[in-house]
Amino acid sequence: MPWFRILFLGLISLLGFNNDIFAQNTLVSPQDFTAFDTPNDAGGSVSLTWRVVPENNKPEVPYLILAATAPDGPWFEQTTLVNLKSDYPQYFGLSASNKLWSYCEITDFKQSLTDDNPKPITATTYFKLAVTDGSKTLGFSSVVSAMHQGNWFDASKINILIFVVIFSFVIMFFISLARKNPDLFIRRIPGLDAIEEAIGRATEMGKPILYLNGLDGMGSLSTIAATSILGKVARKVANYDSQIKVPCRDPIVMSVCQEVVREAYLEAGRPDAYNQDNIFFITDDQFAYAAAVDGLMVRHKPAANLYMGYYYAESLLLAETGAAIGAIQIAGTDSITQLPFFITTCDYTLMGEELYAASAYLSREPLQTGSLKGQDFTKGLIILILILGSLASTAGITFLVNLFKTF
Amino acid sequence: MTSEPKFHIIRWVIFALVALAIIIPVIVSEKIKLPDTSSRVVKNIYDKIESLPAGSPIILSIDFDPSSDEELRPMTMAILRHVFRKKLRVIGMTIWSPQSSGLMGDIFTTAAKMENKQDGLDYVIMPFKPGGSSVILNLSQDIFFTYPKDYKDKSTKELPVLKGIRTLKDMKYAMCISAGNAVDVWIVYGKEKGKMPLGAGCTAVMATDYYPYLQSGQLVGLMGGIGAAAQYESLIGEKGIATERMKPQTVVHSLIIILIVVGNIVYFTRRRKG
Amino acid sequence: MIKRQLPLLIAFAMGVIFIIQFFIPHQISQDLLTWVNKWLMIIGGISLLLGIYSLLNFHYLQIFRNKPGWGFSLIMFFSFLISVVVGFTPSLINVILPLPESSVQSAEQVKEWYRITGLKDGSSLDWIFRHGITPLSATMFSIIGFFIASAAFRAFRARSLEATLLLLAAVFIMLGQTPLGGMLWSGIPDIMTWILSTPNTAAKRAILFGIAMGSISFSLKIIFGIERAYLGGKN
Repeated sequence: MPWFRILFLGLISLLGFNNDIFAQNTLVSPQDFTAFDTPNDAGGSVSLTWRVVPENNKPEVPYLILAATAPDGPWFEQTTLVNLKSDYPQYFGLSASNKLWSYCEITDFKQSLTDDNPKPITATTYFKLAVTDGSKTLGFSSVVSAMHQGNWFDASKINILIFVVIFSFVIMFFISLARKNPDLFIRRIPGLDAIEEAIGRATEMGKPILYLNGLDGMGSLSTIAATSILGKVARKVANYDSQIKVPCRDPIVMSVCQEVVREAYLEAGRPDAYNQDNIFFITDDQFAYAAAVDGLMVRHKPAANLYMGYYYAESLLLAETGAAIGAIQIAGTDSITQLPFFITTCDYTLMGEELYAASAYLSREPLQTGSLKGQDFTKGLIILILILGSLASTAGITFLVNLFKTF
Repeated sequence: MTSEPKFHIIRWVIFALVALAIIIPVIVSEKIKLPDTSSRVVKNIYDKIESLPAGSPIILSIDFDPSSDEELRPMTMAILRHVFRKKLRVIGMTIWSPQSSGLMGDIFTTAAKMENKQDGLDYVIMPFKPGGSSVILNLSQDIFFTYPKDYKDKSTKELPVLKGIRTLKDMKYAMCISAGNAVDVWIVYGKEKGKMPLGAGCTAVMATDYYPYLQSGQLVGLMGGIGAAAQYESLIGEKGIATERMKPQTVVHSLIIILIVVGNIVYFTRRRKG
Repeated sequence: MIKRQLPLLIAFAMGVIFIIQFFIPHQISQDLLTWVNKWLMIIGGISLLLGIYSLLNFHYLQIFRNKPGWGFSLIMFFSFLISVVVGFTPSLINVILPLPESSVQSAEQVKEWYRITGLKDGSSLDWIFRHGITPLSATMFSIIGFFIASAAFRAFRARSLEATLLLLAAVFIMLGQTPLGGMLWSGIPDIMTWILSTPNTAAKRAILFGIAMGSISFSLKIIFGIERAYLGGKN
């Protein structure tokens, strides 16, 4: 083999062992470095972006961000970055080409990389970006500046706002429709029809009705729905001259329930029959509450148990004990994990939104039934969008799915 | 539902059988050998923690109380031992109840002793703060404002384990182990503000609730109940209490299946008799 | 009139304010949310006093009127008294008898002082928690295991096609959750994962959609005063 070929091969192999030389030679200065106020936030943060270039797009290439209070410096090292995540569609949009941006947020001004007490950014700050090889800087970007400010509208939630507005208009439309035509059809909910039967049975047997509002506080929608149903149940109990017991887990719920039951007895013309001691607080501990209610069931043997509201793991403890004493049981919960337990142990179960619909179902007021119809109409719309969205996504059209993205 | 006297007896027989199905495997535990299993959803959490470099700060949110301690402590111990071995910096916190604080202190102390880790240097335990989502939102702004002192009343700014950390965004991973809906709170507030990968641990009955979040990528992995804890123990090579508890669990599951079959046989026999 | 109109007005104002707050990321908006959350905690704390009064009153009447099970009410009073005395005593001792620093020689003596007097916060109460409440709560939770067995025996009957499918799904999931499933057939864990991640997730999502729609509608009804039953009386 000629000597110059051997020399050439030797040089190539020598260079091939030292990959760093190749790596250094291919790194380029950061491109299109930009700084701006981080959108849709409370303030206190500046966003930095730069274009991902193929030469620098290696996981081990570190970037260094420097900041200063004046365009000429002095410059202070803020942070180093590797393994950049550039997938921020809420800032760059959902187009595939927008994934070619790197992104970083700066929330404070450090005097050095190891500064433990950085100060918040208070004035316009200047930034520059350097690409390094781990020990020395190889190239700088241009200097950019930005100042943070709090935003008054979160644009990334605009799809939620539009949906809420549309939904509200649909509800209002159906309420006005219900005012003109009060006999809107609502399908039968057996669990709610059975309440009257349960109260009648309890009256015949001379035993009380046990009503539980769930384990959440008054801030929970299911508890509010449960207290709404309690009012109607209490009125029927007053009319039948039976007895209702309402053990509560939350003191505020107890106060509300006492008021609701008292008003129900007043409306039924039986204020003398109202006994405040029948609505009482037990404890806020989950299993202590379950134990106490189980004890009540075993001792007082209620003829009907109504479980309305949100439940946790104690649902089976309550319902199975109720089944063992032979009570008729009606449950209504929006707790998905506990639905299977109620369905297997109770005679009737209201699932999810049926609990919220109970108030409208029992009162049959136009305002209530109208809102129920509006809710069902919107559900129909969502089913349609689901079908269209599935077909569109299958065909590679993603704009319908992107309309519903949340960030 | 009416309770027939016969059903009362059947109930007590079932309870007795379940008790035996739990007690006997515990007594003869050494004689029972079960194969190792590992599901994808549990392995994802293991892989995620394995991928984190030493010194990475992570949050472990312990959101259960004594009633769920038996089911969730084994998975918490397994996760803690793994992260300690990986030399990750662990911030323990809770948004559930004051009782969770006591549990957390006990679990962390036990795991730290096993892996030779120091409080303040390798991990820190934060006291309980009411507010749930508000605590997480505050964490996304300033960790020292949210927790000026740790569980032992030491100033958090002076702790070496929290050096270089300011907000939730500095966390490389978060895991919420909960008996209630704390995972939902972490998904909605923690993941949205911190943008870090989030894993979840929960009781077996609640695990089915979180599969939609796995599919959407909001959770990297999910551990449900003792079974998942046993899988994690075999992944980290430390078979402990969860693996032992799988033995009675397997027997009880088999018993329930047998009872269902027997119940159906009785039902169909009675139906045929008319 | 003011008894009904004022709460409705408050519900409307707060509802509208916090719908708007959700869309405003500005610090002022976050501070408002934090401030209201703090007030919620304060009100919750005050309402606990109402609850304690109700609890004590209920059990007092049980004992006074010699109702069935009055012995349990006596135990409740006894437990309540012990917890209160144990919880408050260390703090009271700390006020009446502060740690005598002049007599303290070393860290061991300080530790011993804390151990004897129970001055260290929560030590005696902590004992009640660890040895009383923890095992009791765990016991109650464990009862669920027994109840599941009896409920499964009673409920999982192949009465119809749907019930049969439910039964089969339950069997596959119970087998798949344990190593036994894999030992019987390697496909069982995969079937279990499929059941949980596909039809189960689909059904849960469907129920979640319904709950979400119901929640929004119910919330709007409360905010706009259409739903008033929680105030008591006719709408």
